[in-house]
Amino acid sequence: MSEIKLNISAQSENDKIAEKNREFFNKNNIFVLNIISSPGSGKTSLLELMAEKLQDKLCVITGDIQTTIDADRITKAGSYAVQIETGGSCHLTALMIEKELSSLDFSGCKILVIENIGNLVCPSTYDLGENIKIAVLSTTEGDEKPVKYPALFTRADAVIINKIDLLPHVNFNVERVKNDCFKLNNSVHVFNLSCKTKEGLTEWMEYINSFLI
Amino acid sequence: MHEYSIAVQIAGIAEEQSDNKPLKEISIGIGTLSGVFDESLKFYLEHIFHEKYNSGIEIRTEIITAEFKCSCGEKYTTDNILSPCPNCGKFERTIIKGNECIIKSIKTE
Repeated sequence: MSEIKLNISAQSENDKIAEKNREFFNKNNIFVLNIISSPGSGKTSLLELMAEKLQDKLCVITGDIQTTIDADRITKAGSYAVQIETGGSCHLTALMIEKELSSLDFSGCKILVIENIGNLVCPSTYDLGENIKIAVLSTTEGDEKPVKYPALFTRADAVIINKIDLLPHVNFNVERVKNDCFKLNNSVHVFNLSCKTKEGLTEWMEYINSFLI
Repeated sequence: MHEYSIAVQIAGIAEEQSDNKPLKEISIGIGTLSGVFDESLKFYLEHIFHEKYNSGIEIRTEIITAEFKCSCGEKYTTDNILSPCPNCGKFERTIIKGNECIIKSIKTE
């Protein structure tokens, strides 16, 4: 038997395609967010609010196992959105994104949001070619998520604590979550938000607008 | 479940690097912050290679403990992600090891 030392990343094939995606986005001056959360945390509601504000400056690629419900909601709110139906895959890959790029209409687009499949585990380590990763955590999910899912929260550039309007009705310690997020990634930006009351939306949009070229 | 998609990538890379010689063993390093579960990865790799290699191939996994470098200069490893720097007590750190899932080596006939 002969041994061959490799030290190659197991995801190097995905990462090569992610870099090609990144080159495409850079060439077209598009800033890309990869939004990851568990199902029902409010990703699509957030994107509806962003679509109302940004209109044709925002494009969305949204992933779900089935249906075009999310893309339809975002399109109705005013931004261009396409749906990837994975049929079973629990996360998006760089290849899935690459396949969409040639058919998408990016005219006027400054910000692309990739809304990942609802899942706190599998999407967190897949580079899709994004500039930043965003984790969304809602107050109804409990305040232990960051430490239970470190693969995501050590990588997230920003964390949105959503559904803050429900704080009077749930056991959720916002300060605990913020402290844990900063321990896992001391450069993370944490935002409190309610997609229902729009509390916190101004601060979130200021963050997003700071990336517009 | 994403371990299957990672296993497919590993299998492709291992075959590509084998220089057309039959694979006998793949050694993989799995970081504690990689989000990869070693038992699932091993299961999927054994399944992928089962049909091609009747006798199967050996899949070896090694866990890579998270290692950090603090802004004070201290390097430390820890199984508890919420442990601060043992030197200065802060969380101003970068991850040196633990994010990766890597194919360390392969053995061929």
